[in-house]
Amino acid sequence: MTKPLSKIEQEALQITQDPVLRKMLDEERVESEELDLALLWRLIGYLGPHKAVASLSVFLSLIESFLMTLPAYIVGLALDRAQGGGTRKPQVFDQALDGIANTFADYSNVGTTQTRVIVVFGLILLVVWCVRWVSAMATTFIVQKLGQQVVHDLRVDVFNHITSQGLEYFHKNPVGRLVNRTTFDVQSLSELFSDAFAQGMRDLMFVSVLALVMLSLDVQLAMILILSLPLLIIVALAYRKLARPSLRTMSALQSRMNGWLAENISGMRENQLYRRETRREAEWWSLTQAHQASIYRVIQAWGLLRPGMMIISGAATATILGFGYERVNAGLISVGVLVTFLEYTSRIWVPVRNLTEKFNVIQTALTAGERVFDILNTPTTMNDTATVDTSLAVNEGAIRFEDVVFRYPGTKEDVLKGIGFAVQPGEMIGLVGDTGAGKSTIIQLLSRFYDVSDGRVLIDGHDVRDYALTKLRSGIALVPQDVVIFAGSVRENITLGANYSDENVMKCIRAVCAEDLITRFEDGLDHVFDEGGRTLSAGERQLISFARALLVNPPILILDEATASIDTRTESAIQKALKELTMGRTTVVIAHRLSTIRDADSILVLRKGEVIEQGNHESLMAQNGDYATLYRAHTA
Amino acid sequence: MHILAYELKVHPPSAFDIQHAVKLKDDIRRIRGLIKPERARYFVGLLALFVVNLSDVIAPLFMALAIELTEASLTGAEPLTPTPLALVGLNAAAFTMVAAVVVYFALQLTASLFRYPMMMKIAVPSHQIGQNIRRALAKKLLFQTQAWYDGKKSGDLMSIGTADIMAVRMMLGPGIMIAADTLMLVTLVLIVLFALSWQLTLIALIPVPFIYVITNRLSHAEFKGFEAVQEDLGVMTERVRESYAGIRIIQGYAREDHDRQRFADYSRRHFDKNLSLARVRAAFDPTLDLMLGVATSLVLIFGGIGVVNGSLTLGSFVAFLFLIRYLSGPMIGLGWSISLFQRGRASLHRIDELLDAPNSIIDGTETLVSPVGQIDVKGLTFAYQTPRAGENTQEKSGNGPVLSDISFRIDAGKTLGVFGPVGSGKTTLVSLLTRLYDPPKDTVFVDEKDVRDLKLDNLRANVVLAPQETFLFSTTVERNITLASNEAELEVGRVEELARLAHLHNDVTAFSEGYATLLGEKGVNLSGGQRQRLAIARAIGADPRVIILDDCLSAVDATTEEKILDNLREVLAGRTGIIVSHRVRAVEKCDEIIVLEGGKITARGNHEALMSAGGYYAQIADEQTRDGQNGEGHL
Repeated sequence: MTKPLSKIEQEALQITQDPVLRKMLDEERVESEELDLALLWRLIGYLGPHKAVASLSVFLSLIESFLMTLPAYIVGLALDRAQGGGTRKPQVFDQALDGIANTFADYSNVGTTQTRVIVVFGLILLVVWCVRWVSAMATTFIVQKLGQQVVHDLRVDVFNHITSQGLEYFHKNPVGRLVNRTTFDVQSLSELFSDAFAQGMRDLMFVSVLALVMLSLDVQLAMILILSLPLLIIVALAYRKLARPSLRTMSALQSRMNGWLAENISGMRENQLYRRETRREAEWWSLTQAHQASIYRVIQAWGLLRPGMMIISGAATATILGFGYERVNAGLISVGVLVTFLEYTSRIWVPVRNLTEKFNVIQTALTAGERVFDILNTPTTMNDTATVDTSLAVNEGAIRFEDVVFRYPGTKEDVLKGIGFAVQPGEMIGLVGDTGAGKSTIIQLLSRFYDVSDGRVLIDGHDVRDYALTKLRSGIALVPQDVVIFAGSVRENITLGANYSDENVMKCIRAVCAEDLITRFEDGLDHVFDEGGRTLSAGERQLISFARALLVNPPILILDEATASIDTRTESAIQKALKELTMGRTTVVIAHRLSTIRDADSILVLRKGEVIEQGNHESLMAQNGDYATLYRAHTA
Repeated sequence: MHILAYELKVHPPSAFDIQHAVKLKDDIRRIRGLIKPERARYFVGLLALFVVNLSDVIAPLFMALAIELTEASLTGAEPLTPTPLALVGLNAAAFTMVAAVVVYFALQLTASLFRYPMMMKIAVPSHQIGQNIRRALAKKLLFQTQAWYDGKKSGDLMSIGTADIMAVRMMLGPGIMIAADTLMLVTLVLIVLFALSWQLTLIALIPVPFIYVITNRLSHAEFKGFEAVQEDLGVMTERVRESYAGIRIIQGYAREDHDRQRFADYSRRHFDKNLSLARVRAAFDPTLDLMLGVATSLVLIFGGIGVVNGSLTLGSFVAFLFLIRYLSGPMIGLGWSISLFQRGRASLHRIDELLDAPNSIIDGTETLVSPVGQIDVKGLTFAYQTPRAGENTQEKSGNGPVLSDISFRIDAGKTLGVFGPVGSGKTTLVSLLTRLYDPPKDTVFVDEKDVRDLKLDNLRANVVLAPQETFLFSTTVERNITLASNEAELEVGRVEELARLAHLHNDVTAFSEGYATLLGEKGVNLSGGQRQRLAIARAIGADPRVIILDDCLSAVDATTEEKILDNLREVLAGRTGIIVSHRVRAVEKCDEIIVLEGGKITARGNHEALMSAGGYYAQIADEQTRDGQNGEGHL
């Protein structure tokens, strides 16, 4: 459902001419216009496990609403008892409060009975305020806690859902976007919960209780106030209409400006190398200009909302005064009741104001909520199949590809066009070919990151789809080209959280010649790498990756060799470690180094998804085909 | 004071901070300077604020008058005039009920209507001042040098550009408005209240100091809690990012369960932090309400007794009830605006420190009129002044010279290869040629002019560097490719031509939106090889006399590398070229090759000469061709 861009949005785009801003506004625009009930309902579903606390909060809110109507009531009653002006119709609460007041007033004989009664009323008022203080704190806290609890549950759900998605999903969705969904978007749902849902319930209860109390006091005056509510709502809706596009533009510009600043600080060298300074300055100028224009509109809408509401509430007060005068004179109400009503006028518009002021937050949260539930609604693509045999595990490490055809989901071209080969347990196979030849696809099919489009991938004679995913993958160790270092200790980075003894871990580290990496830290295995292991060189990261694989000790090893240059010192360590790692294991290697390839038991030369040559180094050289040409070209 | 102490803890006080923390006078002058261009609007805004407050305070008196009239008509007695009205010579008896109500409404209307100019003339200009600061800041950042950036963390710069500017804006907008509001309203309300009954006023004021203390305490606690939540959110976000970025490893090793448990723990901790904040927030409003409640109760007791005794009129009593409410707002506001000013001043100091930072590279004055591209380096020795923040390359961590006594000449139109191991100073050398860092005087020359004497803009128009790891901007592929091009002279098809030269065209057409595809957070990511090829396309696009390629092919596969090198030879025809690499294949066809080791030139000559000399170059060439040692023998 795409709406056309509003005037203010067009204006911002015209000032800035910024494609990123356009994309941001486009994304925001797809949101649904009205409050999505299904979404709220789903959110309420998350309250299920916390039913008891939720009911408690509703109960407390009800008490609070009642307590909030009491002060003005007590003041009015006390006034009537002090001055006794006008006719006060007997009320249920009056009798109760009078009873308390008279009882306590009798305990003392200071001053007149009337003054004593007033003092007691004042003390009752104080007590009411204290009780309300406690109940308001409790309610607010419980509601906040509930909201955070829901958000926590949701966050964990989203994370679990995303991490069970196949690789395809991660290719389609940039990591940054997924991260935002998991943290910021989920977090803003807490605002939807506490500001919109919970506060809305509290406000609604308060208005209802207030209406009941007013009606019991005087129907006619009550009606004036109740009828002023729709007027307030009209003002609120008008504000919403006026402010919404500007608010949306303003927040889009704000995040665009933050993004602009961050990236231009990071890319400052390029800006200066390529003499973009003046142009960037102009870009920034136009962003700030558009930002200011949107702020102007937002403040303007705001500047109209407050007065609009105050005029209505002022008019309501004036009407109450006028009508009240008539009714007091007619002997229908007392002066105290009139004062109570005046007090109520200033209260009744607070809920509407609350809701309107929070409107922007709620809208943002709703949009965020939609995006979050979109994530949860996307089914996971890579699951255990119906024919799974949970007792299967990878033991020998024999690999067999039978006429494997593969096409990435949503594309038209086959990446693999009928590949067949077999690797005996303990052998090494090298994959050679240009970018796009299908080398990476082959190793991804092996670990079942994708399922074949046609043909079969067999491990130890069983289709990979018959293994439970976790069993299959525990049998295969992956050493990728770009090593990911997680924030955490060296130990955690090598065990990836599984339980292994330190002794075992150290043995593997020694085996891959990475001992030097550990001993240089005082805290050894407990040493915590900083953000992404920035301080490690590419070679050192490789070694950690090797240790990871060796520790698992799997029958199959997949090695995607690094292309980046590695310093000479680490290079020899890597060569030694590689020997250790591949020993006695079926190894599939995407080879970039000639030395690795030459020792392979067989080599597949791939071109555009087909095997064009196959054999070991000597036979391929003798064949004098593509491999030989390539090899000679590089050793010429 | 709490807030200030906290600010100082977050940002370790520099000498600058301490020096300025006491200089309130300077700050006031600085703030006045910021407001100066908008002062007319501020004046109108404050005037409107005064009208709003005046009407707000007088209106309840007419409500009181209406109550008196009601009471009087009931008892038949003469209506009493609320004291403040009597003081200005008004008499209740002169008013009809309708007149009293109309005046009341008129006052309310005035207060409402003047709120509009009040908002527009204070909030809007304060944002304008914020934009002015943003612009000045960006200008400063754009023209600061790499050496300056080396000593800064980008996170700190970002926080100045966002949070600090916001804090200053809040000081100049809400801060000033609330401060003025507090002053005006408190004064007006107190005048009216004292006129109504000074005894009752003093009693009603008892909770006021508590309101101030509570607001100050709680807003401090809230700020701290909020910061803690934000900080923890950052930690959790980083955790999530890692898991998603490393999903292949986590899934590949079947460690999802562990990873999920780990995240659940992080999420739980975040929940706890939010709960601590919720505790403070839950206490905030109810406690302030309680203070107002206490004041109301006191007024009811003592005012009520007054009404019974006849020392206070009913109308005055009602006016009291409504007016004391105006006191709690400003009292909350006072605590708030004080902390806004504290934060704003601290932020302003950080902003000013950045704006006042001197520029370490001084622009030259000369221009190359008809450049040919001859490069001379004479006895160049160079050491970095600032250790680089957050980077750990061997090249830049040491204090000693990174380059020692480097001399060479590249004749116009010739190509120089710069060959050497990681950390030998190759990147530093080429950074000096484009004056990203300042070389010593009389060491680096282009067309026999010292680069320090040339206008930066002119130098960089003629000498263009493609860095090893280039930065991609989150805009379209096209805009990224043409980053260095002269946009005004961009011909149709030029982008594609550039992409083809760098072997990027096929990659780009594979994207769903081709050259209009957005890169970065909102779009697609490029692989290392694609980035490098884009860097080459960019540099070619600048159409300079001298092209420098700083190891731009290290992540590109061998076949593609070969094709790009062929294209480059075509592009380089008639230009001066410098090719930096650790691969023999990349430099072997250069007219001359210098071998850098440990910042010194250890050998020079063409490929054949270096091979026969049998030094480091020949040794590496041998390794790279024999069996691919050093990861260079790519298939």
